[in-house]
Amino acid sequence: MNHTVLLVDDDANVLHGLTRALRHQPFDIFTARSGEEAIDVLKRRRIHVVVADEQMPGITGGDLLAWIAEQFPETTRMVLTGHPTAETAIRAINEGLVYRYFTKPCNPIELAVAIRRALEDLQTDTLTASHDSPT
Amino acid sequence: MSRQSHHHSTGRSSPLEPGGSQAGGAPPLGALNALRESEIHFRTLFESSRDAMLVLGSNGRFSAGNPAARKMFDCKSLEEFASLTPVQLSPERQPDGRPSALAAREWIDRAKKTGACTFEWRHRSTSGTEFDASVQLVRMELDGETQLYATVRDISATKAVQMALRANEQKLRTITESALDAIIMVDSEGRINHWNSAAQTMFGYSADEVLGKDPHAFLAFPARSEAAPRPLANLASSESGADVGRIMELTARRSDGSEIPVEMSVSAVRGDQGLGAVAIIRDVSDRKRLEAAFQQQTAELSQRVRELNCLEQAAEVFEKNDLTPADMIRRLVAFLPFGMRSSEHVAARIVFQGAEFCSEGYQESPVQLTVPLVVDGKRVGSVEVSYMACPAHAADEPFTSRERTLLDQIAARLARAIERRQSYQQVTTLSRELEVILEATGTRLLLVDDTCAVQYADPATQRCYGLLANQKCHRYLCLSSERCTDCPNEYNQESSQPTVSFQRLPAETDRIFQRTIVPIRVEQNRRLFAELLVDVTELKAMETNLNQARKLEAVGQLAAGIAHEINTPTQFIGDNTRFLRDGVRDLEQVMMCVDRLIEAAGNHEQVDSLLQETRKTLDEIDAEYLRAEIPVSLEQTLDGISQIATIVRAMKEFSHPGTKEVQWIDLNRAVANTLTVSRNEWKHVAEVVTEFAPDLPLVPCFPADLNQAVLNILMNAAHAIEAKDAGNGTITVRTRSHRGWVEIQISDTGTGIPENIRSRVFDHFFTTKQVGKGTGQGLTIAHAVVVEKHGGTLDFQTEVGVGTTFLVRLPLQEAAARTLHDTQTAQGD
Repeated sequence: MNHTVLLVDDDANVLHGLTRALRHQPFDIFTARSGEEAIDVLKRRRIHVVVADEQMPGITGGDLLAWIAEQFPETTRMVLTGHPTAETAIRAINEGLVYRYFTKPCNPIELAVAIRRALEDLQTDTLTASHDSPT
Repeated sequence: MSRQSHHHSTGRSSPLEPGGSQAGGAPPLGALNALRESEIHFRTLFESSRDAMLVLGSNGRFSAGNPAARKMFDCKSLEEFASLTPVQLSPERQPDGRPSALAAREWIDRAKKTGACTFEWRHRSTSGTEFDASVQLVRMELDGETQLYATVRDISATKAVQMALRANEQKLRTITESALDAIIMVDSEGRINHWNSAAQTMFGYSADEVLGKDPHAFLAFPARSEAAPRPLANLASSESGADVGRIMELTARRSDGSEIPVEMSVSAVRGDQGLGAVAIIRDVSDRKRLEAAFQQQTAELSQRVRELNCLEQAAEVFEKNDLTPADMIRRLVAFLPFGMRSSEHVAARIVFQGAEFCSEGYQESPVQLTVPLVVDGKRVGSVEVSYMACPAHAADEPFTSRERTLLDQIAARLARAIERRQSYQQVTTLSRELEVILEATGTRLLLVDDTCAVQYADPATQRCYGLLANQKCHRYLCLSSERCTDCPNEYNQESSQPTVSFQRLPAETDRIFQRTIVPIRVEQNRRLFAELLVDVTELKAMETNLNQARKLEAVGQLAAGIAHEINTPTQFIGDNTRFLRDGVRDLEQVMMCVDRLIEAAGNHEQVDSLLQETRKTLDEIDAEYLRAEIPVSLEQTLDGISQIATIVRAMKEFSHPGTKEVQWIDLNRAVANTLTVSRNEWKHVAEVVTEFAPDLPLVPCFPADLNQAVLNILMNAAHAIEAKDAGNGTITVRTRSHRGWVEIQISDTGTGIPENIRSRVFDHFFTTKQVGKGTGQGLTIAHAVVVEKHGGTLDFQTEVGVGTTFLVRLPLQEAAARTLHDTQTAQGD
């Protein structure tokens, strides 16, 4: 089974661009246009890594990541924001327990490397400690 | 009388019978001679007597009468006389009313019985003349016959004198009795022999009580006791004593012991028994009372004059503002004694704050009057007057109530003068300090009256422009001999609000002054204007910088959001561009295949191999994907670039450094720019709906300021929505032109403004937002920009829980904006 990555951003162009940039990476890419849509996806399928924008209408990135950290702690969480503030960064770290914090514009290769490392870490975890995978 | 009695005795021993028969027997010769001699003697007497002598016979008729009798009764002959009876020589009735006949009978009977009687009788002569007479009847026995010998003397003259005397006495009595003055007479012994009723009234003694007494014993003229103890008695020795002809003022004692002041004049009276005296005494207590009252009034009047003099002098001293309190007191204390009744005996002392000020000759005295000196409610000393020597009149009441009042008044006025002096000193000090402050702060102060005449100018202004007292302020403020056309004093007449303007002064053209004119109502009908000119050149420079800084701040506030707005497209533009670069590189392989295919055209074997390679390449590079995505990514990239271009342009237009000129702008575009640059601030909480009027005319305004105002209102709307429910609000922005005005309506679906804070919405630093969220200046600035800078209006309608609509109205007339522009320019934008 391929690894799955969920990109969350309210700007479709950003999602399109990232999808193109990451199309050769060894994981499946899913996108969501809002926090609500992302939660919907997460509930339907296993997602290994979530990359979320911070500022979105409705549920913000911070809220979303905090929710994921609680509901799907095994999903690795990352931030990709165009408006980095100390306040949101602290919240992302403390409540969202994020793996990486990126600011726009970011080089997709760095993002891809981070995602792959996260996926490798996940595999290592799975191998060393046999996790119950949620269904 | 003695003659009569002699006659009487003679008559008794030798009765005569003139013309009558011889009586007795024959007497001896010696005796006869003696008898003849005697007869001649008596006959001579009889004939020559001036009294009427008559003999009344026992028949009741006259038997003899001497010539005096005949003459008295007016009879011609002895015969005629002898025929008459006493009644016939009398009137019908006597003065006492009794019938003469009856009275005569009685007297005759009495004489016959007793031998003699004397009485007064009213006679009437034969000729009818009536007269009073004194009649003496003597009984004679002659020849056994009882006869009456009568002597009649005409006493009418005596009677008349007696009557006159009696009348005189009566008159005198009436006079003395009716006199208002007491009239007292004393005899030569000094005993009272006359005491009229006025004396009785005056002294309380009746005549019976005092007659025969020495008046000095009980009338006791005490005041005279030493000088002339017995004024009435003195007269006994000399008819012209020291007291005669002089009016003496004495004090007499009345029967009840009270004393009355009297005036007495004394005259000597020569009486039968020597020198007596009459005193006329007048009760002068009323006059004395009047005199005393008059004297008192005179004294009071002179005291009043002294008081007024004293007060006037004091007032003069108090009015001199250049005197220190000590100087003032020193002068006051010198003339204070002259305000007192006995200024020659009085000295004054004023104690003020421990220092003593004394008038000449002052020394401590038990007889003194002290009034506290109370300044500003605190006792700071006293005002005293003292008697150095106590005169008699001052023994009982050394100080009159008038004097007390005077001293009270002086003390009170002195206290007020000191208060005034002190506050004057304070004011002087204060104004000196004020001038130092004015100087130090570069502030000019002018006090100008209604006519623009300068009443006061601070030292710096005086140095700069010369002494300006009473000159017109416009002479130097505007270099004009006429009142300035926009003279603030002119339109400030009725207002009590200060007006503020900015101007340069002729002598200091490189400086800008803030001119604040404060109307001051000095008195009911007098107004002054305080013109405060503050050098704000540096402040203005700072303000200009500050304004620029504030605009930059607005941009900075948006900068993060704008960065996000740029970063996001940059992200996908980068992604897409890299994708396109890689895609083109991939396609290059295909193109190379195509080139080789074209070269190998006709060589089937080679073509097949090349076709296979090309297909493989196409497959490898996922040509399908590329062909689908490349145009899309190009579109998206262009879109992103356009986004960036838009926001950069909007930012440039939004934050263009404000020009000082009014610009005619497309308001729709300006509002759209503002929405663009602030997009990141609202896009997560609200959807923005714009309803711009397409036919909006160009609007005269200061674009940078107006953008700032609209931005602030938009931010406020976004925050109101965010506070209510995140992400679901709507901000509706409408523009329209309406009757010479252009309106921008910004409605939000936020919380609304609670009623209790509605009036404070535009107040400086008022905010409902938490610390760090808002500075409380947004709407204040918006209001200042719209109302003050553009002459527009900024109002709002709000409903709690529903939302708020702000309405910006801007005037379209350039004139309005132009006027404002001038004002604003003056204020130094």
